[in-house]
Amino acid sequence: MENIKQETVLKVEDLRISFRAYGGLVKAVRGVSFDVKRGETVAIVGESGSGKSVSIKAIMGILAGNAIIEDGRIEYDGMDLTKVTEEDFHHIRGNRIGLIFQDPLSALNPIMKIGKQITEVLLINDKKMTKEAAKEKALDLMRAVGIPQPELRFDQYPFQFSGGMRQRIVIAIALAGDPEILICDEPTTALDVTVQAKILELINKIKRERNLSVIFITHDLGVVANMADRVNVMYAGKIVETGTSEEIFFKPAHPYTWALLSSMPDLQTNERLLAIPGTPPNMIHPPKGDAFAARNRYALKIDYEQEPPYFKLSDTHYAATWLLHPKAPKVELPAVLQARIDRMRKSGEIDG
Amino acid sequence: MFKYILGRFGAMLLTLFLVMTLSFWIIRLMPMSIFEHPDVHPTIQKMLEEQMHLDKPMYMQYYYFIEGIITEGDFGTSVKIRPGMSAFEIIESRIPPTVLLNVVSLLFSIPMGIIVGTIAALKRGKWIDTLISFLIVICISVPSFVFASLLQYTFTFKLPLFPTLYDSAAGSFAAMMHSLTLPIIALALNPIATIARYLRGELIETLSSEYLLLARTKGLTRAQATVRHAFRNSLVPIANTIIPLITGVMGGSLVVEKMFAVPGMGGQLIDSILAGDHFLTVALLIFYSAISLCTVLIIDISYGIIDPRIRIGGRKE
Repeated sequence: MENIKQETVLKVEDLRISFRAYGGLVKAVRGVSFDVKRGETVAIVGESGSGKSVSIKAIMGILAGNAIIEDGRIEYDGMDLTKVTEEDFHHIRGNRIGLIFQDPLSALNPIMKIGKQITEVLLINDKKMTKEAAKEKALDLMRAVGIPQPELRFDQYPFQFSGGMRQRIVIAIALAGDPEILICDEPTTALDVTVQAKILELINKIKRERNLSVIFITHDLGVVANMADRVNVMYAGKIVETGTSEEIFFKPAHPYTWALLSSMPDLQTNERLLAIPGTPPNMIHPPKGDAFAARNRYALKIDYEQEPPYFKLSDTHYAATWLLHPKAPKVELPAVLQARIDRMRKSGEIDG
Repeated sequence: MFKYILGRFGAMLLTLFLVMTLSFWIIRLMPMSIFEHPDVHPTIQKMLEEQMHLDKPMYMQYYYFIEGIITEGDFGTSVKIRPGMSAFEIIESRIPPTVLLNVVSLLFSIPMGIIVGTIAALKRGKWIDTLISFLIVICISVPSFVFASLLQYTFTFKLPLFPTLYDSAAGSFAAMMHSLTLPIIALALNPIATIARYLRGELIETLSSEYLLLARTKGLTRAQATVRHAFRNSLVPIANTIIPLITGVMGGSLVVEKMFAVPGMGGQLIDSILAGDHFLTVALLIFYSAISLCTVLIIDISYGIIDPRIRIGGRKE
């Protein structure tokens, strides 16, 4: 990642989103801030319900009807996306920001021809484009995402495609509007492992070719290692640790990041993997203090009383845990994790 | 596509044959001879029975029945309602009002149901949705002849806007339709409610689907996404509910025709059953199933047109 231009294309600041539910307000996102620079991949990692999908839906302006953006800004191209009305938002979607969905099986309209689903984007965003030109462009896109025999495939329906092929079509649709930001919402979760690698490779290739900024949502740290320049680890609606890939993988500081890394298998793991005990907290009544405290083996008394601020580890690396406070007791990395990091360093598995 | 239609057509013929067989056996196995009557002399009764093959065993009668249909298109002869007249001729003279009534009710109810259901789905949770849902429950649970009486009472007695009975001697088509308005409304309420209920559910589901979200990330407005992606998809399952509706409307029209004195097949069928005119009854039953099978065929074909998964799915890739 040598030639990253340091221009910030998207900046999320202190975003807070709640959902109206029967039991009260579910505080799904509680003050998330991150930014994306041109040509870089930013990963957001976290378990289900940590608020990662909600955050990116807010960026796309497709939050569900019962969602309320309580506070915060999403700065993009001089606009605040939290304030943009529905009438204006559809010019941004597709055209400027593309989204790749988690489940390609349900993301495509089952009774519309593949070709039409791609050309639709082109025709809607460029009123002057003719149908023939749109078809040509759609065929080019299909070739670009690696669909064999695009002329034949153009007139077929989604059910005639495999899962991986459908995800390629979803990517083609996201690219059709020629966006500058591509958001991938767990793009490989619904796919076979063998197909996963190919799709990730494709996203990386497209990103390089078009100098796209990519926001990559996942719960799979293994995927992150191959994709991201910077990583944000999210838990219970907050970013608990942020840093470059190397920093997160080699110098993790937050106990939650430790837990995530320890629960991830690799080829040399002989020990039992560590599962994270318990479940995420109820977000209608978020716990006082650090939301992760109840599941944290290293929790201190203060974790239950006061929310930890961000402690700076380097210019790019921050973590919100009281363990980094000067007065906190020194805690060693879990042995399993330390062993793995040593192995990774040795084999150079991550070579940035 | 052609193969699909051919397959559907074959299945339809087979069904029709089964219906013919079943209605023949059920009706003809009813006790009592057709000609048994205190006024009819036993020798004449015997003669008549011989002439109509009624003295033969049942399976031979069935053979003659099928032979008549296949070789001469002869569905039997009426012996009591219109003695001596072929059942086919009777049906022919009774078709226009029945078909008009049924087809117009259905053609009227499909767009109405779609409009009402769409409004309810788009205004989900608002007062108009609640009102529509309430009316839907009433229209589905109350049978058509009750509506027919209510309409007759309201619009011919209290507020004389329409004639009480069907005017078969009406000079113009408009006048005939005018006298058919009330029976059409009575018959259409139930299908309107059924279609609206299904469409509301389907549309609400489609509106919250992933591909609608994708459609909106493409840059389509909410309205564009709804029309292009949600609407057609919701119509696919609706096509399936229309099949039972057709039989429902035809069943309802049996009674409603009688109430409005429409000289159609429904009244004739009831009369022939009551009179014990078995030949005519069987012929009418066959005709009724033929109509419903034809509509089912049409729906099946249109289903294939709407949903490519049905059209192409059968083909091996």
